[in-house]
Amino acid sequence: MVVFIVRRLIETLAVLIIVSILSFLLLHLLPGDPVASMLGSDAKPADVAQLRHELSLDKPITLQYVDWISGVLHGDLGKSINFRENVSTLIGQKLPITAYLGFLALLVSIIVGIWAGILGATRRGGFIDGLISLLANVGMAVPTFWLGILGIYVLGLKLDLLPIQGFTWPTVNLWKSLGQSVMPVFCLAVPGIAMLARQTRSSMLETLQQDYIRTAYAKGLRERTVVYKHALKNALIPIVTLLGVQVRYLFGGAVLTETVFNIPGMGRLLVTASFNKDYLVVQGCTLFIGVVVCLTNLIVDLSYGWIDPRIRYD
Amino acid sequence: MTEIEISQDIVKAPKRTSEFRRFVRVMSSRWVVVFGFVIILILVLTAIFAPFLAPYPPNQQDLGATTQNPSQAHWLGTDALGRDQFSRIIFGSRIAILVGVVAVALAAIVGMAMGLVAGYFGGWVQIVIMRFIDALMAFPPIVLILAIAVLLGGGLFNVLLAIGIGLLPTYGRLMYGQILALKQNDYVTAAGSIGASNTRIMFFHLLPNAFPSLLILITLNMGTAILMEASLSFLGIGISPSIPTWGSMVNVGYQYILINPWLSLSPGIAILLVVLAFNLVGDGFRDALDPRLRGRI
Repeated sequence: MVVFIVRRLIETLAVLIIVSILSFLLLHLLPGDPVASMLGSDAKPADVAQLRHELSLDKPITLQYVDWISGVLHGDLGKSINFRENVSTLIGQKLPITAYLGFLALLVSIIVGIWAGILGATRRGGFIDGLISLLANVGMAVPTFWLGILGIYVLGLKLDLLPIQGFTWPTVNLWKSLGQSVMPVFCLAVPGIAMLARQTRSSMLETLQQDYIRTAYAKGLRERTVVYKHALKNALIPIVTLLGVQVRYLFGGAVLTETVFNIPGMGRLLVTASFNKDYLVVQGCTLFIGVVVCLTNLIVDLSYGWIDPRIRYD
Repeated sequence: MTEIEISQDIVKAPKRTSEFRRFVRVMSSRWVVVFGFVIILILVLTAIFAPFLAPYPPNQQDLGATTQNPSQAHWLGTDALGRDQFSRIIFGSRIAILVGVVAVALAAIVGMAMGLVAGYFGGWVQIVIMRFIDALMAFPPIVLILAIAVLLGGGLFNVLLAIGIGLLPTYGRLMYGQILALKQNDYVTAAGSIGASNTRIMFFHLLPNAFPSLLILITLNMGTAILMEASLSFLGIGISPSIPTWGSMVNVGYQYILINPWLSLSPGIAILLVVLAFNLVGDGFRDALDPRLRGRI
């Protein structure tokens, strides 16, 4: 167990280093002069030299990386050209919004996805199963941004039920916040619901064929107990694996949903920065997301033994 | 001697046909898979015959008839420059096919090669390649693709390259796992012991046996690649706006949603149908090729 944890930690550290190198190269592999394209063509030579020095671009590339990474480890991701603000401060401002919506979406996709998957598995081959499979297939294929626009058009503009854009914290205005969150959270959750429903269904179908399930039925236990207590627990491993993947997709989904619904989170920060060639922001966001995903994967891997005590790490 | 030859023929011949027949039977027995095939066929035919099928050239402007509602002359109406929406969707299929084929081919070839080499040689080669793949996998595909597109700039070629890199790690992972398992087979040891080179073993013994799982992933990824390109074009970072792509049409049409909602909604339906079709066919392949399901369906 300890050996496994240590090995997994070393592996994660190696991956984190490569993630940081990739993010570093993002700026330094830019064709042409990044400083010139950041400051524009009418920049003063003194400013150019200053920024070049700040970014350590006047040193050999290995030293540049060392300088950069030691800055990063101290929370210094550089300064945004457009926002005139530290990149780490910007991420600190935008991340809570993305994390809040992402958390709600994760919650929705877990509840709805697993429920739908169980429903499909226990009614295998029936109408409900077919309908769930169809919806799951559509959910995996539907473009997130298009779904958002469809929602804005039908629910927002035609029926006037929900606000079509913006973000409010629930502590500021609960009703407004809820209204504004419904569509973005739904759009973010749809791919997750679809994936979890499919995974839960097939995982449950496999588990429901096991001998101990038949035994549980034979003992006269109610279907509810058999399904939720005996089967679901044992079908949980592939589902948890998928949850790790979800975090990655939520960041990806945030890029699109936050653009459609005009939410000032990290996804939109990344898109705005991409448009403005605000490279340090792109670099900082990419690095941050990569690190979060790596750490989530680590947690998921380490949690297997806790979920299923039969799993031995050796 | 003759007896052996005859008996081999008897054993061999029906088995081959039955395996292929089983594949076709499993594939065609599910209407959703057939539906997927039909959609893909329509997509390919539309892309090939676009100039003959489209009622108007995709970039022909008619400034006297801008943002019109659907009518007899323009089935889905016209956009802000008076271009026929239906014709532009038809031409958009070409980019979809191009992205699906080229980006996925790129990802599959490079990713497979990485997984193959890592799985076959093991040791330091494996550690370096697989950790690199893990690192690529840490980024959500759309973020990775966005970052690469920013780095390289937009344009068709760069978008294809970016999507290719974004999809690459999955192939590396899959291939690596497959090779690790396949390497244990006796026929690999046998091939090595009669002096087959590493290259020969990798390409003639391991690769063909890993192919079924790769075929499934390739099919599913065609849809993913099309979805990625559409997302990138929607954000406005993709292919040049003069080329009709479904993603950018959703984006541009969104501004006129109250005048003609079809401008934004109809290309999305095209994306949805095509991605759905590739997913359904990919699932069909999985059911037909998965050895664990053999005999059950």
